[in-house]
Order: sequence, then C-alpha cells, then structure tokens
Amino acid sequence: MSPWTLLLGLFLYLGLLFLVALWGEGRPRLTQSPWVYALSLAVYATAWTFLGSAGRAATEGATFLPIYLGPTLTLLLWPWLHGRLLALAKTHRLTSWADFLHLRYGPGPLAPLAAGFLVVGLLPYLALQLKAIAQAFLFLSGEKAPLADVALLTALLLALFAILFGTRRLDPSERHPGLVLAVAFESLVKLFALLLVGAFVLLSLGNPFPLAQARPDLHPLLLPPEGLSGHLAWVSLVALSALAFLFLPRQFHVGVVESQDPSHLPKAAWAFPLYLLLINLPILPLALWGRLLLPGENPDLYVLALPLLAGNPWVAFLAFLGAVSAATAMVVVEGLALSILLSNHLLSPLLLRYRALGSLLLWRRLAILFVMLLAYLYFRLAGEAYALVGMGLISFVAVTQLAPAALLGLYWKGATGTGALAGLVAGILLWAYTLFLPALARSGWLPQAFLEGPHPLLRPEGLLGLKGLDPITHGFLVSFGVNLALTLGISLFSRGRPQREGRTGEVGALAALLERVLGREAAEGFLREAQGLSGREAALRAEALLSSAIGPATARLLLLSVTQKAPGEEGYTPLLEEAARESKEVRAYAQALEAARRELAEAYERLKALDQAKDELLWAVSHELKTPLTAVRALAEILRDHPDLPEEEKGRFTALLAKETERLSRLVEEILAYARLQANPALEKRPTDLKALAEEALSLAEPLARERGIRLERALTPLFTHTDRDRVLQVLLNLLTNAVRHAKSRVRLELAPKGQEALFRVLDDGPGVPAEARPRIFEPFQSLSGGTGLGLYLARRLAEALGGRLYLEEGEGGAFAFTLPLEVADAGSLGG
Amino acid sequence: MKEKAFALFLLALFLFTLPLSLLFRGVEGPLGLPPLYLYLFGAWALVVFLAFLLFRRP
Repeated sequence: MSPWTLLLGLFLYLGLLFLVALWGEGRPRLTQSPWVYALSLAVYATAWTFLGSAGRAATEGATFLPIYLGPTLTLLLWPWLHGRLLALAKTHRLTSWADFLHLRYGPGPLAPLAAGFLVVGLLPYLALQLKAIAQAFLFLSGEKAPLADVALLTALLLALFAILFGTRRLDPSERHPGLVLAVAFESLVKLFALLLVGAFVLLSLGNPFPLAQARPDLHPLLLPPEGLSGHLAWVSLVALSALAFLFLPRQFHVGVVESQDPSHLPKAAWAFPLYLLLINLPILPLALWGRLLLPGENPDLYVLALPLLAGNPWVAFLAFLGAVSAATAMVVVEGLALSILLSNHLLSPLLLRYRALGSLLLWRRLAILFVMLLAYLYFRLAGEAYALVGMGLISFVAVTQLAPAALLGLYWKGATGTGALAGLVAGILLWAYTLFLPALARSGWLPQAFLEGPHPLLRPEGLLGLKGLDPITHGFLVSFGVNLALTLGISLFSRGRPQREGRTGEVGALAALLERVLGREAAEGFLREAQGLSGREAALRAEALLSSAIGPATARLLLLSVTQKAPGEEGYTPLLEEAARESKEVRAYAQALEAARRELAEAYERLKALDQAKDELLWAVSHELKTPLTAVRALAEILRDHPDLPEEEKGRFTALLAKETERLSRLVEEILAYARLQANPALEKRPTDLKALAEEALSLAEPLARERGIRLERALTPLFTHTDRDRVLQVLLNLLTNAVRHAKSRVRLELAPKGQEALFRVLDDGPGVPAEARPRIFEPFQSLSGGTGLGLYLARRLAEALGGRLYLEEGEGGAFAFTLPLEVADAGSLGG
Repeated sequence: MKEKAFALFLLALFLFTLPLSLLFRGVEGPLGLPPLYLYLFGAWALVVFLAFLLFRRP
C-alpha cells in the first residue's frame, strides 16, 4: 500500500475520532450510559492485544490468555473493590491511586514517589504502542525503515489528540465525556476489526487446527505450559494482570474518574469480560496460520500479514485501523492520566513555589508531550529488542508495586505510611534491577555483563540463585513479594499514622481562592455547595476541589493561606460529643417548653370559651327568668291595684301566679343543678342494679304518664355496674318525662348490654325532633316543649360525667339512647 | 450479592489457575479443536454467563 494512502486513511480515521469526541462533549447522558462505561473499560485492550497477542500465541502458546483472565477475576470483585473506590473517589475527588495514597497515609514522599514511578514504569507500555503503529505503518507501506521516524510522528500526533481532548480546561471533576465516547467508539472498532480479520482469514485459508496438529513443532502452542515453573508463570500472569487492571492509571481514569455512577458497574462486570473473550477468539487461529504460512515474518505482524497473504489489502488496512484505534485510545487516556499524576504530585508544588500556578494548564499540556517524548526515548533505547507483549509486561509489573500499599490501605487500618513507603521503595528498586535495567542491557545500552550480576546470588533475572523462571514471572514474584512483606511487616512494627490537621475557614475566602486557581465557574459552584456547611466542612470541600485539579499537596499548601487551624483531632471529639449532648438537652428542654406553651394556649382558649359560655348562660338565664317574673309582677300589680276584681277573676289570676312561680321554681332548681354540675362534685359510685333503677324511674314517671294517658312499656335485661345511682336516675327521669310529654300513646324503656356498655333506649311515638332542631337539641335553653331547655343539656353532661354517652337516634318518633360503662366492682356480690 | 460475587470469584480463580498441564495432554479434542483452548474458553464463557446472571439487576 502506498504510504500516502495509509497516511490519508490514518488522518481520516483520527478526524472521525475528533468528531465523535466533539459530539460526545455535549451529550453527558449518552456518555453516562452503562454500555459506554463498559466499552470505555476496553481501553485495556491495546495494540498489545490487537497485534501482540497473536505474536505471543505464535511463540508462547496459551500464555497470551491470562492477560485477559485476570481482569475478569478483578471485575467479579467489584462489590468490594470498585464500589469502595467509587465511593472514596466521589467523596474526596480522587483522580489517581497516588491521590488515594496521599489521602490514606497523609502528606509525605509516598504519593509523589508513586506518581513519578508510574510515569517511568509505564514508559515501556507507551513505547509499545508507538512501536506497534510504526511497525504496522511500515509493514503495510512496504518499507522497513526508518521505524524511529514514524514512531516520533505517531508520538506527536497522539500527544496532540490527548492535549485537545484531555486538557481543554482545568476541570476539578477531571471528566471528559467526549473522550470517553471516543474511547468507547474505538473499542467497538478494534473488536469489529479483529473479528472481521479472523473471520476473513478462516474463510479464505480454512481451519488451521488439523494442520497444526500434524506439525509436532507447533504442539507446544496447543498445550499448557509444562512443569512447576510453567504453572507458576501461568498463575503469576493471572495475578499480575488482575492487579494491573486495577492499578493501571488509564483504567483508574476511565473506571473511576470518568464515571462515578456505581450502577454502571454490574453491567460492566459481565459485559467487559465478554468483550475480552470475543476479542481473543480469533487470536489462536491467526497465530497458527502465521506459523504455518509466514515462518520468517515478525509474529507481531501476523494480523496484518495474513489478510495480505489471502489477497485482500483492504482487510489488512482495516486491521491497521483497528491497531491504530487500540493504540490511540490507550496512549490518549494513559497520557492524560499520567499528566494529571505528574501535575498533581510533582508539578503543582513546584509551580506554587515559583508562583506560576496560573499556567498549570499549559504545564499539563507540556506534561503530556513530555511523557510521549519519554516513551519515544524508551522505544529508541530498548523497544526494538523486545516483542510487544514483553514490553507491556514490564509495565504491568511496575504498576502492581502500588498494590500492597493501596489494597492494604483500603482494607486494613493497621497499614502505616512508613510500611507503605518501605514496601514501595523496595518494590521499585527490585523492579528496576530485575526488569527495567535488564531490558536496557539486552538492547545494548548497558553492558551485557549486567545480566550476570555482581554475584551469582544477585543475578538480575535469577536472584538468590532462582532458575527456570522467565524474567517477567521472576521480576513480579520478587518485587511484589518483597514489597508486600515490607509493607506488612513494617506496618506491624511502626505505630500510629499521621493525623491530618483540621482546618477551618470563611466560605468567602475559600471561594476567592478557588476563583484564583480554578476560575469563576468553580467558585460559584463551591458557593452553592457550601451553603449551610460549617467552616471545617467548607475547608474540606474546597480542599477536595483543589486537590483534584492541582494535587493534594499543593491544595493543602494553598489552603493554609486562607484558613486557620481548627480544634485538634484529640480535643475535637470530646468537644463534639459535649456539644452534641448539650444540644440534645437543649432540644429536649425546648420541646418541653413548647408542649407547656401549647397546653397553656389550649387552657386559655378553654377559659375564654367557658367565660363566653358563662356570659351566654347568664344572659339566657336572665332572659328565661324575666318572662315569668314579668308575668308575676304584672299579676301582682293587677291584684294590688284592683281590689274590686270579681272573685272568679281573682282566682284565675292567682292560679296564673302559682303557675308562673312554679315555673320560676323549676327554673331555679335546674339552674342550681347546672351550677352543681359545673362545680364538678365527686361521683358517689357504688354497685348498682340497673334493671331495678330503670324500674324505679318508670314508677316515678308513671303518675305523669297516667295523667297524659300514655302507656309505659319496658324491655329490661338484668345488668349490674358500679356507678352513681342518683345521677343515672336523674338522667333516666329526664328522658322519660320528656318522652311522656311528646308521646302520643306510648313510651318504651329498653335496657340491654352492648359490648362493654349498658344501653338505655327511651322511645316514644311522638312527632320526634325536627331535623332543623337536631343539631341544637343538647344545647342549653333550646326547648321544644316550652320547658327551661336545660334538661337535655344537663342529662348529656351527667351521662358524660358518668363515663357514658347520650345521643339522639335516627328514625321516627323520639329515640334517645344513653350508655353507661359496665364497671363491675364486685362480680361475686352482684352476680355479674 | 457480595457473598455470591465472592463465591463466583473463587470458582473463576479455581477454573483459571488449576494445574492445566496435568489435565490437558493431548492436542486434538472434540471437533478437532485443542482441548486446552476448549476448556479455557468454555470456563471463561461459563464465568461470564454466571456473572451475567448475578449482576444483571444492579
């Protein structure tokens, strides 16, 4: 293929990625889809997967697979690992594992060391991508050299892409939705491309397995690694890739920083392993066909070479785009993650010292370029001596050095900063001695004698005389093992951990600081968030925002200028507890006060109502008394002024006088009864036979009934209770005389138990109570029959004082019901 | 959920790291495919399927 065609295709593809990223910038809902999240995790599959896996399968057999089985294991643990990480990242705005180490172990050299080491440790991995693209480009264009020039061009191009979409502004959230969408898109492209190449090769060339099985020299590719060392290498690779998936900066960036929605994780936990499984399906057939048909070719280029061999350059070009896609996604996200690491933990403190923090964005862009140029430098130094997978594995071992400090810090309270630092330093030194420096030695940049070591027990690839292990397994087991042992051991013997000094500050001053560093938008957002927060909480919030943009160390330094020391941690907790206790007491006191105020208000209202009722009563009583008194006075005056009145007339007037005074007397009696009731005298309760009481009431009402020609009927059930006998009799008499006055021919008294009550019913066949009078029938001085109008009012009050109810029933005629609680005082004596 | 996820993790760990060289000594298996790869991809697919069943409802 012509180099210009390739270049044109490459630029067109990168242009398409730009458009996808731009399109995604304004669509946060799309980029927050769980599918996009799962696909963005596939940034794990790089040019190493696309080109290097077939290369490793063609030389080492099945050992290309553990690299993908490990992440599957890690994702199954998401409820512990990722869930906790997401929660922490959301609270503290973590942007990397180094931020976590700073948060967990406090200020010190640990986090900057981790950040710096990650940059160095990932150089081989970045170099691998440059090499993959450069190799593929030269292979398809039919050239062999100069590989380095193409790699440099690639590095610059990818750095430009990362700068454009990763560092457009300083965003405290460090989220780049457009970039995430572009990565997800690239993941689809590389999966589609590799599956298409595999399907095309299988359809064109057929099934490679029978041919491979007939070739004994290819049998090692179809069999598992042999012996204990082979098994150890297999298990180590599974563990190594499981840890690397968790600690690679780009995985932290897409998995934690870019998406902090925990609901995406369950889908990713099965969708991403499925993606890895699918993308690995064509690897072995491609590797076997490569070994069968292209014995002299570089195995890392089988994916490109086989479609060409099968006569379809366009499929080869698609494979090239897939490889570019895989490399681009990795380089851009890794470059961005490393630039954040560099700027947060190394650059920002320096810039602050030289008062140049305002140019942080420029420095971050330069950091991306710097990292890419370093990767290119590593490629020039060591890259040409290694296969793609070999280079990647060196970086895998590097990132796992963070695992002991981070995982123990995440789950074990006993882990100390001293232990973590000792473990990390030892791990880094051993990684460099067993993997990084030997890589340079094999490339000729160090003397070959280095590989033999100063002593047989100190051979870089066989420490303590270890033999039979491949360099990666050896380097991983040694560096990780010593790191873990030191972190654990020194933590156990070093006490305490640095306490973070609490700070407190004014919200306004904190917002002004945020505006200076992050811009007005961030300050306004902070002011909205900080409403109602205490000075300590606001300072913590501001620190989290600053930390994510300029790193925790610099954020802390800046914060010192606008905050002051809060009460110390030791004194703070008891103070807080005391304040909480006092606050609880004050709250209880206030509640009691409020209850008393409510009661007082209610009592006042009752008093007001009673006062008003008393006034109304006085007015009504005066009014009721005035009528008979006026009549009495008028009659008396007539008798006084007219002594000559006829005897018959005198007799009529005297009878009228007697009637009016009788009415006055009755009125006064009822008013006295009302007054007694208002005085609330104690009830005289004693065992009472209710049936006998009812009989007595009937016998008392009998003369009036007989006078009016009314028949008294009864249906009485024997019942006993503990009550004030006289008052019950008063109520019954009131109801019976009322009924007799209104009845036409008969009145019926019933007594029966109803639940826990005795029910009296007084029924008459009179006209009943008119509907309009029903609501007022129990109010004082509301008479239907010309009486005082106090009778029913008094009867109801008496019934209530006895613990019962008095009410008017619905239906024809008069029907009053009166209940009494059945309180049995002495069941034995009363037979109840 | 946590317990089931951990049980699945242990199952996957066992399936992915058991001593394969003791089990797969031949190069030709069912359908002419290498038994080692049939096993690895089969175990992997099983783990993915079980993860799907476990995590499909967050």
